[in-house]
Amino acid sequence: MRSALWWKTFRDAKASVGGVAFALFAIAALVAGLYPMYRDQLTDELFPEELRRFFGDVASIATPEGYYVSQHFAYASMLAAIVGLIAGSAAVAGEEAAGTLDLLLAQPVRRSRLLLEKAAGIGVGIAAAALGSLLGFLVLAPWVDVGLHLGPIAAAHLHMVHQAALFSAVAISGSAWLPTRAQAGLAGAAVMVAAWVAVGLGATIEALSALRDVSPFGWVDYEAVLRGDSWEWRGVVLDVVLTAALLALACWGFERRDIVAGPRETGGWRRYLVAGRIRGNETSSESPAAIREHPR
Amino acid sequence: MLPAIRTDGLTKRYGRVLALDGLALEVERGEVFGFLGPNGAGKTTTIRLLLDLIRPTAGRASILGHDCQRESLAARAQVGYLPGDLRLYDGLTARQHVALAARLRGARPDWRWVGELAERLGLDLDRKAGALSRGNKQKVGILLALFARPPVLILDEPTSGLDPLVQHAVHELLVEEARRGTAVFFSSHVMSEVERVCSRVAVLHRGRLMRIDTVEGLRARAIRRVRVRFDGAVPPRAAFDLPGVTVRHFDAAGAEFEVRGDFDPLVKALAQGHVADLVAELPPLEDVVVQMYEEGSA
Repeated sequence: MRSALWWKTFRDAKASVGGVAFALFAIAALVAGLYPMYRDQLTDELFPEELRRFFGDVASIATPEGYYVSQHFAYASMLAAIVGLIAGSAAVAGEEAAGTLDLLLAQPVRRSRLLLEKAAGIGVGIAAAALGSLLGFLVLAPWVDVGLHLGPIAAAHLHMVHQAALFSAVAISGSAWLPTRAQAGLAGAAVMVAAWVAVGLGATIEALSALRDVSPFGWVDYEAVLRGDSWEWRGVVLDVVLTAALLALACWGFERRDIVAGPRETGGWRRYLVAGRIRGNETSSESPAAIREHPR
Repeated sequence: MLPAIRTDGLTKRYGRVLALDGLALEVERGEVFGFLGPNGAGKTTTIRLLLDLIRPTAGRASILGHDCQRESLAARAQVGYLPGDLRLYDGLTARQHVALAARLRGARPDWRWVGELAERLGLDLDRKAGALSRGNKQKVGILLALFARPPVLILDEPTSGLDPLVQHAVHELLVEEARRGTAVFFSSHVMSEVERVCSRVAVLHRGRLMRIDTVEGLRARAIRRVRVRFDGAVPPRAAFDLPGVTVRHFDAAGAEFEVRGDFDPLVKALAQGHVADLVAELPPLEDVVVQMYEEGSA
């Protein structure tokens, strides 16, 4: 197992995964630990409706589920997605920019297998980060009344995982098409921020309510899940289908394109345009500059 | 028998830049094949095309009969590769690198052979790559190329960064592998090592193949310097106004010529006098190749 690529991918992301898992654990434990103190003081007058709607699309903060969504899940799902983005952007573009992709692709392995093994490692990383958050609740549950059953809390964490997996697939796809980690990360981050802003605007402005349906953050109603009312099948199906489609797109693009040779210190679109024209020759002995010296 | 490596009209174009222009060559099993050329000649492009890291604009390449693009997996299964600008995972040891590569190959490494290689290269298998010097990292790269004992080795400047003793060990390894029937295809800027280990050499310039020949063949075709000492009868100076012969020095005691091509006209001209001594020097490969680059540039 230790020599498997998915395990190595997981290990490579251990700093960001560990950091986010610990942060989520601490925040979950703090939010759950403080709940009994605030329970009787929470009223919807504390936050204007627009604010509640923008941050987590919460109907009422006076309920335990509303409290946890506004104080934890609205941000935890974002942090889990950031883990996916960081690891996803490194999946191919990070290796390519570091110059280590040649080592892997020189072996008789399909590029798509390599990409999917890396995606599996990233999935494990996202699950580990979500587990950190869940542990925060589990550690406190025997000692304080967290106000919710553990089943719905675990279900909300599962939703967090497939939601973050979708954003990691965006970054992996960018990573497979673009040759630097910065570009892939930027593309994934842009999509995530746009999705977050879209669901906030959709929840607060009536005329823009359709935006909630196009944003992945709007596909899971964490309040309903924590109430134990429903399992958000629509969100699960949409996330899983889109994740699979993005990974398929990533495999397709990655299988077809040239691999840029040698390590590169910086990214940048101008660099990409140059690399696009002169792929395959960026080594110390055969640099694009060297080739450009001999135009034909 | 199928050649170990075959390219046919292999071409790679990057926009307006032609990096490789219709390369056609064959590398046989059991030979050490040197691939020479100045920076930007197309050596690394050729190697990356063989490994399917980049796709050709035209032409085709095959390894042991497997098309490098259409049967890429089968082709790469035959190859051990050392990149020119080797980068390793800083957090992994040499042993872990081998285990990862072996897993991707779907094979178990022969740890006894890995240990023997490490010993011959003077490499500690259990130190993390991040803590290794450039030379030791290069040894890990060589280990990764050789550990699976593939029938074809593609090595981009394999001795770069190695001390002379380890360079010698690598040369010995390559020659031994070639004796076992392995085809060794390697690019190098170090002509002395090419002379020492290669049976044949291809010279590339600006993406075009200039020549393929044995090392001796290349040297024989180059300008050779001939020194002659006369004793008594001296042939007339005019007898040496010959095509391919340049007279550098001429007097009653002796002469010095530069000869390009066939020796026969010079020998016949010399026969008109009495030659007491004759020395014909084959130039070092480096001079031959530099001469070819200059001709190519002109």
